[in-house]
Amino acid sequence: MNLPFIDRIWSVRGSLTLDPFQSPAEAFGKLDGLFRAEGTSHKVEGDTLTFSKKDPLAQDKMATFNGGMLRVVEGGEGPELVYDLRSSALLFCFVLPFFFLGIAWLIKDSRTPAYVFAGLFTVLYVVGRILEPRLIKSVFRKRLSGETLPEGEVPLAQ
Amino acid sequence: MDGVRVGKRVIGADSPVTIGWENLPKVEGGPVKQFVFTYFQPAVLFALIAFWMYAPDSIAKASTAVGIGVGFKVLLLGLEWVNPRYSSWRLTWKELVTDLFYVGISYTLVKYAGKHIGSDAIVGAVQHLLDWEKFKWFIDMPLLFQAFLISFIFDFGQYWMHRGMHNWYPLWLTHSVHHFITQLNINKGAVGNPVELFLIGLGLGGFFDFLPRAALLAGAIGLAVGTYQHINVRFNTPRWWRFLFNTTEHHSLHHSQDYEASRSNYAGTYIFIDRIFGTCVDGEAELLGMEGGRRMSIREQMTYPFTEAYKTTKAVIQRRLHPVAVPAE
Repeated sequence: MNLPFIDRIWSVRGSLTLDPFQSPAEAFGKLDGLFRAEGTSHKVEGDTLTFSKKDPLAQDKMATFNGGMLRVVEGGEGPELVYDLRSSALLFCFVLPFFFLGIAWLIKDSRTPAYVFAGLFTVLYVVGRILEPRLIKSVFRKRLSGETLPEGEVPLAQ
Repeated sequence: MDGVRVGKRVIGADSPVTIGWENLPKVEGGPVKQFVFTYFQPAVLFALIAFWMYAPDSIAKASTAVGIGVGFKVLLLGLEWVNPRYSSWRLTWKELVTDLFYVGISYTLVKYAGKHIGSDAIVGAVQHLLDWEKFKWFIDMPLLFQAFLISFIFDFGQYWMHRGMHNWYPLWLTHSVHHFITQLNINKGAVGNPVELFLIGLGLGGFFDFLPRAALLAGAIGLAVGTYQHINVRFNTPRWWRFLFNTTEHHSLHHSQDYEASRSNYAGTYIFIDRIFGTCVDGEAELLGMEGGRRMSIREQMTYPFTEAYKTTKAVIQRRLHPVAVPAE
């Protein structure tokens, strides 16, 4: 379904410039560990990688996203990794303020806490919508540049 | 895995645990950090007790208690950031959203249910039937003792409700969802099926007539002790504290993937209740959860007790209707 404006609520898109002459297979190879986490299935077809996640672990670097597509395309300054990810967590957080406003409307006893939580989730959505795209871009960049995991951190790959 | 023998039980045969205080890691860092994370817990407890005993009536109100509670949790979130117990329990944006969703449900829908069909309603109904005036002597006792009694009576009830949840299948169905959490953070205590949150909120304290100030003081003791059950902070908790009170260490064992470890440390505030009834195990665990530590989605957390109850009931009925023939010897 193509929803160009509404889907920004739950979709995260971005791109990263790759090293010159880097093939799709090489780029996806560097990101491979991310897609071997528990509950993740993925498929590589030429220049395109698609993945989906079911109940990812809390510390999975991509836990916020439950599916998406990554492509290696030829950009103006060499090859680029273009990604399009979807997040039911972002959508859930977007809906929560309306849910708590509904509670405030239905249950008069709970009006004050319901308004407080509606406000809290509005703030959390804005934070998440800004923070999560930055974090995932940073994770992709680090993996593509060959940075190793911090000391003591173990990969989630099984 | 061999596990460790604790009394008649073997703890840690299914999943790694650390048993015994002497085997637990200490706070790492300079003298200031060591000092803060050694004396933080008692300092907050005594400060809150002093506040609720001596604060003037104009500020000793329920709204102040709510404000202190929220401020304290924000402070503890900061401590999780500064001095985490395990990096594998780091709070992420998604975990925070999930946890706060349950906190929101607790403060609205569950509280509403408690008021209208839970302990508030039951206490109201029963108080009309009996002569509760006879219990008025409670309010002549020292304030701190009243507060201790309120929190102890509530925790004693919670201990048996919690132990019941681990031993009687229908109650376990509601509680099992909470045991699917895979890490401890400040708000993880609220994560679970709402039916359980309703059941755990049932208490007997409302039957007795205490001074309102004593109830606020009891709430403060619960806040300053019980909050540490679910927290990702490394403390050098004093020996006397961990003997009397529940700690993160105790509760991490309770949430361990190890079955025997999970059947220990049931009290919410006073771990000495577990010591009295022989269910206390001193130690800690990092690997938490059920079914190998899989993370349950909110959708499954909402439906799990009901779908599991349906599956079990169906299996029982099928066994009754179509018993498997046992070959003769």
